[in-house]
Amino acid sequence: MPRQGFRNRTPWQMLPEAQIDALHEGALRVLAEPGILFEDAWALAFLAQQGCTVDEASGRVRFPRQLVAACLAEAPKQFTLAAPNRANDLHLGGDRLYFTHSSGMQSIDLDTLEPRRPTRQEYIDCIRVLQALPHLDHLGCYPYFGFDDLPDVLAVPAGVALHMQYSDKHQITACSNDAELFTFQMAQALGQEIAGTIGSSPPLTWSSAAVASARRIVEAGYALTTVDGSMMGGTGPATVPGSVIVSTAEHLAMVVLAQCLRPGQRMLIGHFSAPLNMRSGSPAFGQIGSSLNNAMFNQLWRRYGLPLSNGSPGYVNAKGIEFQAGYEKGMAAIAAALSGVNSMLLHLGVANELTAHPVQAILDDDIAGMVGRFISGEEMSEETLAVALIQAVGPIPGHYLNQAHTRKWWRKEQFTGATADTQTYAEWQEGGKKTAFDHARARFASILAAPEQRFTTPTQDAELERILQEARRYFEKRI
Amino acid sequence: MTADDILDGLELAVIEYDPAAAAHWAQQAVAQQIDPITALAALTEAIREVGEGFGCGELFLPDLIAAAEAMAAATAILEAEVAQRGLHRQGLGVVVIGTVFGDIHDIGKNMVATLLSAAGFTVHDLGINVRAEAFVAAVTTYNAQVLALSALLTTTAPEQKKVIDLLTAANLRQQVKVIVGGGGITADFAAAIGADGFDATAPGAVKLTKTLLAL
Repeated sequence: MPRQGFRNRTPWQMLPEAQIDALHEGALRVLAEPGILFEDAWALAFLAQQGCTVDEASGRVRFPRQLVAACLAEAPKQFTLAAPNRANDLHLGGDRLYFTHSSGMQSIDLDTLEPRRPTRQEYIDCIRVLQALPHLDHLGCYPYFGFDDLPDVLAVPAGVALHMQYSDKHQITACSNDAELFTFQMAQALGQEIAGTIGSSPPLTWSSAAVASARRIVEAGYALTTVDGSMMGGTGPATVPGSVIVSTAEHLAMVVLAQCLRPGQRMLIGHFSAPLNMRSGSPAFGQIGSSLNNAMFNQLWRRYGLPLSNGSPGYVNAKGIEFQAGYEKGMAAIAAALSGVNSMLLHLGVANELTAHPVQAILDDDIAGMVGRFISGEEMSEETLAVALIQAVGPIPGHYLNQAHTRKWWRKEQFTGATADTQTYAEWQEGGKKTAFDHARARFASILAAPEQRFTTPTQDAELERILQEARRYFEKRI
Repeated sequence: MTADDILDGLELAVIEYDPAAAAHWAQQAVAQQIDPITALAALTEAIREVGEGFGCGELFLPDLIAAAEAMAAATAILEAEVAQRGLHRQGLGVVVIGTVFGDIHDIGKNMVATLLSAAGFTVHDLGINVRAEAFVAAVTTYNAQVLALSALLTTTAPEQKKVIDLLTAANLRQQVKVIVGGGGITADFAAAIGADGFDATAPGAVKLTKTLLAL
């Protein structure tokens, strides 16, 4: 049995079908002209063999419509990702929604809001919190881009090893700079399945490194996650529909490559667009434009049927763990969930991609629970309509608190966040006027106070360390 | 069927929120001539467990109210037996409680009554929309040490003052502690109308009652 996640049986339709047609048609026109730039000789030759029009001099690949349609049809619409603990397996696609985490370059001091590089122990603590959170369904890339004095290039392999040691949830890991040469070894050594993520280089480009990683992922038999990242007005059009077309064309190009390489290749389509901050030039995460972008993209890709992921809900413009972070994440999460995404980055990120902290993840887990409860909708039955009960209870002095029906249903109907303050005003005053942030810090301490759980044996630890040393030597030579 | 079976049945009926079962076991207790004080103690123990569950966040209002209703179904039968035998029930104290005239809200009042019962008080719940004269009469009838007045609405809160004034006029004010509560009540209001105490929560009302009776 996979993790249940949440089910969204009636996704929100943002656009009428004719406008979805227009997006689809736009993406196909872009794939035909100007096409997609592949900075990789192998990809050019391979795609030419599949019937694409390839201009070797410019690296442009133009995709025939029929090939795109055939490859979309070939890609699995639902599939399972195995977790070390099979109770944590993911069944991606369809109406299911899972939550995962974003990441940050650094940790953040909770009192001063100063970013700083985490220690290895803080990295482990972060994974332990992610393991403990009930609505965090699987692990994603990092959580931090390194720790202590670890060379940055080793951040991915070292992080994957720590995930394996301190969590039994599935992990979808970054593939870049040859990291997968070692992370896949780790997975194979432990008999685990991981999924690999590659990113396009918008606009309309796939790098040689991404293609190399894609080939390794496909050849290893793991699921491939493709992530776009157009910034509206920067690396994509300023308009949401235009940005969606750029992102869609990039994904479709990789769908063709992957499905031709291995028909039936499992793919997760990751959307990660945001408006561009027109003063600073940085991504304006947290803006409502990101949510519109996700909703439109999700509706288009639901038509294609491949499992979908949204990245932007996990990143915000807020600099601290405060009100702005809450509304930016809450709005983004509800929009993505309503529009039918299957996996969403939400937990952990504090300030853009700069900082992350597990206390933020604890608060985000409550957002995940609320959003999940909302999209789960309502059961309609004689029992939930409760007409017979209403007739039996009648007007005052009748009430429902003493009814078995209430005891049966109220927990299912309500969701109360673990960090939400639900006390009376007097209790809150007597209890020291604690905020959600205080409750989250207390929960953080409580999770870490529990005995540290390891999911690998000493023999497996030794094997992971051997592979890490091999990676270190490999990257030292390259540097 | 042994006495222990019946006492266990009474406890279980409260914990499982089953008024019909509670009444059944109470009738069995009377039929088997079990000491009704002992049977009432079994009910108190059960409601104490439920109260503790509520206090630590494991149980919630619907559980508390349902358990209280089950307990009430048995208590009515057993208290009649207590009266029949001319026995006297020992407890932490006697509390009369009700929602004042003009107000028909009883959730908060029921919570307080249940938790007071769970704490070991003998509680006489007069219900909702209770006239001031009825409160005063009940204080005398039950020889109450505490009178608990509930009012949700700001429009009915002045009725609490009316009850206190009537107690004073009947020369009963010195023999009973008056506590007030409800959504529209504040500590300042309680002091202004001459109440002995106020708390915003049901567990707080139990603490307040114990404090006032120096328990």
